[in-house]
Amino acid sequence: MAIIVNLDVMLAKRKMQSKELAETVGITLANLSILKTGKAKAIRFSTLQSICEALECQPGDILEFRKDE
Amino acid sequence: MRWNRLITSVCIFILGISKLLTVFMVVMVLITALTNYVEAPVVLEMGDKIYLDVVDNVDLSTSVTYRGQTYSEVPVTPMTYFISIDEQLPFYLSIIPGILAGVGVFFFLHLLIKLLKSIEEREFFSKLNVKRLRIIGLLLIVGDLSLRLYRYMTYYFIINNVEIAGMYHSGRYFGFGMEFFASALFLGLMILLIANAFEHGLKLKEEQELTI
Repeated sequence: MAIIVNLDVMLAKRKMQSKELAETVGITLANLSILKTGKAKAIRFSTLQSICEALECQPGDILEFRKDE
Repeated sequence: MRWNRLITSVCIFILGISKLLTVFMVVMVLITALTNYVEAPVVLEMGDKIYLDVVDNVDLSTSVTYRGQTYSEVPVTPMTYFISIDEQLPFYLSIIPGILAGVGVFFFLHLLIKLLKSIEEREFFSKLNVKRLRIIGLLLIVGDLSLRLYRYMTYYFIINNVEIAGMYHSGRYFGFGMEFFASALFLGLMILLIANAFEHGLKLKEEQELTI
């Protein structure tokens, strides 16, 4: 996938656990892990907004575009 | 919702019984084939499917009452004749089609039951269901075509091997009329179409599930 989810990095920076984030955002841990492993096909704007609010960051901090080789 | 589930359960139950009966039928046909013991004689139906003209027409007349008015001396023309002989049909017209039909029906019912069970478990869109629907559609199409072939085979067998005094063969009815829309061929094509819709639904479901 050309879009890479850098949730791990952001979580480490904020010293937050996955479980905690899942609870504040209101998604299940399973779905959060789908997001983290890059299996997700899409992310809702509402979810993205909640994550940004919880982690106090910009969408660009979580998502990254890398060209496919 | 509860009614839907009940209907599905009842369908599964009835289809399960039909499945057992199919197994029973195939076993009986096999036993017949192995022991060479057939009770039923060859029965030929001369009617809509095979036209036979009767040279010495049996003249029958009767009186008919239609809406209170009575008509006397109304001629009666037999449309269908049944002829039964104490003989066995050759195995390629009796036992082999019987077993093939039994196996086909069994497989069809088996797939249908599995499909209904998956629907009962709220698993509409899965790769297996798409596959099942495709096989069901193909089975119906193949079944319809082989039934047509079987009819032709029996038809030519009768023309070539049976001579009935006082009757001669005049023609055969053939046509794709409105009956096409009631045939298994049409049903099979429609089911294949639905299978394609299911495949699309499966794609949508996956996309939906992987949207966080």
